[in-house]
Amino acid sequence: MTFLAPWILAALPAVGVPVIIHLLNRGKPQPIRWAAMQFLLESVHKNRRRLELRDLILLVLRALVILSLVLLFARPAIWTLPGSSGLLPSPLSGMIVLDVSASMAQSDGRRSRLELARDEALKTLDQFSADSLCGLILATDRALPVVPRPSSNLELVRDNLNAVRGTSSATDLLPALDRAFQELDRSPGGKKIVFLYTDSQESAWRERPAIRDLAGKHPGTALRSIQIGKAGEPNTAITGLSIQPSAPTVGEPAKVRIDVSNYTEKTIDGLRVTLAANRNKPQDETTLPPIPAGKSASANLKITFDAPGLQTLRAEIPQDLFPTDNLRSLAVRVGVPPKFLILAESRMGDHRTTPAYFVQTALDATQRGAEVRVLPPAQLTLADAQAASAIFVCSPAASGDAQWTILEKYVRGGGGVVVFPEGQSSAALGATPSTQWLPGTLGQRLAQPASWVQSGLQHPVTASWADANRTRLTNISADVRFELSPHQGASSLVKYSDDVPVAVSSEVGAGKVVLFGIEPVPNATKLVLHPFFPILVGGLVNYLAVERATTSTLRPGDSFSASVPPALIGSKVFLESDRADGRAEVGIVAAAETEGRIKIPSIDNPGGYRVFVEGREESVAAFAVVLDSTESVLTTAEPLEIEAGKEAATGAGHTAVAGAKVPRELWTIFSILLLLLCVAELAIAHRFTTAR
Amino acid sequence: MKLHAVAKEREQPLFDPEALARAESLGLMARSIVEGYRVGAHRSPFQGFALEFAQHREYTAGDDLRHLDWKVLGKTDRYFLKQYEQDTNLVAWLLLDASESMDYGSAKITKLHYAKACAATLAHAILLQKDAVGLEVFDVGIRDQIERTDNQGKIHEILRRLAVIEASGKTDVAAAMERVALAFRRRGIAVVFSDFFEDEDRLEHGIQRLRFLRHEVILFHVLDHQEIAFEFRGSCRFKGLETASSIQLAPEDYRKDYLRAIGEFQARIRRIAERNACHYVLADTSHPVAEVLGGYLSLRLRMGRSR
Repeated sequence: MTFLAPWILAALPAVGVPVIIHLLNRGKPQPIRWAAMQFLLESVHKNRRRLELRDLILLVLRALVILSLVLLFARPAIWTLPGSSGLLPSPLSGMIVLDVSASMAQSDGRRSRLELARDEALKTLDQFSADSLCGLILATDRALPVVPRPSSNLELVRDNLNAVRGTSSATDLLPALDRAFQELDRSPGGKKIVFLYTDSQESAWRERPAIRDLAGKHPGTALRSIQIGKAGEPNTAITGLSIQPSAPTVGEPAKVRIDVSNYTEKTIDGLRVTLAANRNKPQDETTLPPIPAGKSASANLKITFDAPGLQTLRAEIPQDLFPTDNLRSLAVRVGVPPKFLILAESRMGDHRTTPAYFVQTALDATQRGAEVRVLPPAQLTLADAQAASAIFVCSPAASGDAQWTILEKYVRGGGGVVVFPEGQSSAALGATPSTQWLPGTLGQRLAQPASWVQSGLQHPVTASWADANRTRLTNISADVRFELSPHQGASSLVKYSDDVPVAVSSEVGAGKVVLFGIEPVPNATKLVLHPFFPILVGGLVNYLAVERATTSTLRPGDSFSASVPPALIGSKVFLESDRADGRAEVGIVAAAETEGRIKIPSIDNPGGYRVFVEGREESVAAFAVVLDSTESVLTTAEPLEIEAGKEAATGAGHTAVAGAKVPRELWTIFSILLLLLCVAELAIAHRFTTAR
Repeated sequence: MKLHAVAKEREQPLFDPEALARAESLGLMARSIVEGYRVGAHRSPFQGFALEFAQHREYTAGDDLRHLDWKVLGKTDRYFLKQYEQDTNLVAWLLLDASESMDYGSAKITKLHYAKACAATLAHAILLQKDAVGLEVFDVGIRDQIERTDNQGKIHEILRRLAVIEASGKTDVAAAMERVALAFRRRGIAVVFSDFFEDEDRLEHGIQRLRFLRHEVILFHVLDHQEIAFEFRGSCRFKGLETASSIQLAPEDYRKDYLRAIGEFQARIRRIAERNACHYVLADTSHPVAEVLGGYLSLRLRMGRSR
């Protein structure tokens, strides 16, 4: 039972008024010196118990009269089934709109709002007559039609209701209601009612004016809102999770900020927050200072990753009645400090004129923390090559077949190589058997100066420079260059004005290789002295990084897609959640033009996920599904109740509340009760008065 | 009724507790009642009292024809007078209860005041008709006593002593009756003024003692109007006059049962009187003394004529 005007209950102490009056009456008796005491005592002895009982009965009756009067004005109501006050009209075209948003997972400790809503929807469905139609639409922040049109197959609706599962999505009732109204418009005659089962979360009604307009456009359709649960449960939520730096490196502690919000009505003290990586045990934890009601607090915890690659972070607080938001995840890419190898012969004299010097300077400028090592080509081993993020070959002439073979293996295994020519000896590079895997062949050395052209820039390294207003490539020229003929499948990064490519690239195996037709020395081109050169080198480094695995943050229900190297096409894809053991197979890598594509449809459960591909230890992608923080605010709003296109008066006894039931006012019952009590009081009082 | 109205009118100014505390006013009231009563009266209500037949004697001129034995005359055609064993003056003993229970009065006067007025009036009336009167004021013992006297001048003494009596102690009417029975063997009239709030068996025993000695007993049952009607309202605390008990209650709740109890009590006293051939007179203090006494004396007159 509830009260529609509970503030009137403040008058409940008035129940004590009869007692006070009784005590006041007893307060000042009239003193009488009495002679015939023996007869009075005899009468008292005979009647005292009876009179005391009578007084007690009258006192209780009068208190009950006041109590029922107060209760009557407080407008008592009981929760009844929505349709229990009367049978549904027949025939009826109904659409059941069931809120399955994340907030419906909140429970009173026994049953979730969704379970209650489903039961109530089933009860309403039981009241549909055989000639009625019913459809079912699930509502999150979008409409999810299950039985999209009103159907005479009520069993189908029933089965689908039984199969309904909750989601972790946010709520917006408008799309689902819009759909329901439209479907009922198309439905044949009869009374048309949309039955909305929702916890009436405030955010769900944020489109209230639009819903009102919607109902106005469909005056023949009524909206019956059945609010599940009286008010939102007290909730605490993790509403923010971020890491600094955003791309941490292995072994380096990173700072993680966790925002916790208190949506309860009292201050919360001693809330414990833990932080873990992937599915590991928590690495760090803290106890938050008291969080006043409606406020948030932040905790800064530290985490250290012991392996590179894609990882997930998991922050947790103790579970409450809405556990979905007590845990929040974040996907991060953990890198290692990159290592670059420059293959160059040591030269006598000023080393600042060598290609290695300029390449090294550019790498130092763009790759902070990177290790740049200059190695004579003859000393190159496969292990050295595989330890490098990329290899810059600045002395190709000094590299023998053995070194080119090592480099080819390295590239095919996923490495990246940039080859610069060196003097006359570089001619025919790419034409020899050991260098045929290079993307082009160097020809004659040309002493004709030429500048770059800014048109047709489609290569990933140079595509972003296509805007001449931002970057003027025509200022860059070459004095001495090589004729460069790209191999089949190779693409040019940029060309000279005579259509000779400056550089070409191709993918070889899992790796990539870029061949320049110009020496990176000031004698050949002023490019190396230009500030643009480090940017170009940085672009090359990014291009060569074959692992293009991505991290992202998704909303519940979103699908995930990521590109992977074409070599992985056809491989099985597995998904690992930070909230469950094991990996689930979710499909295969599909072919998409020149690359492979992983696509995982509709991931609903919040958490951190890592994507693995068959045959590879490292994850190729990671993402986090994060609950919309507005969904954590469980405060409720008055639901709309619409009849014949007009909004019914608030609290007119039609609004469905708590326990998935409709409040039915007990005005009549309490009036009768009050009347009976008054009559009983008067009758008893009269009887005792006349008996005197 | 006319008599009662006149008597009541005269009585009213004197019916005041302070006035009654003075012998003069008591006397004035008694006189006014008695005189009012005697207007038009030809015979005393106490005449021809129960004196026993002894013998006949022949009539001689000057004898009162009232004592002529008409039956003998009818049978023998001779004139004989009836002679009675005792042919002396009437003695009336006034027994006045002055116990604490008599101190109750819902109006201005208490039951004791009322009883005093009745006793004074009777004493005055008896002395006026040349009969003798004696007085005993008692509670559990003798509070005051005036020996029998037919001296009309003694009335002032009687009134003075009545006036100063105040209520105290418990009631023992039976003891007072026994004292009278023991002290005075000669037949007379015992007039008792009391509320009779005492042991009823003892009371009956006392009456029987008096009756055994052929005393006539008249019981004036003096009760306050509230004791009979119990018309209190609101919350009251009753404190016993002769008991230490005290009780707080709403009188309306107990009225019905109380009235039944007091009614039964009156009936019992009345039955005791009837069983012992006594006169019972209920003296409700809300009624004028003249009305109560007048009513009773008129009754006696009628009874005397019919005898």
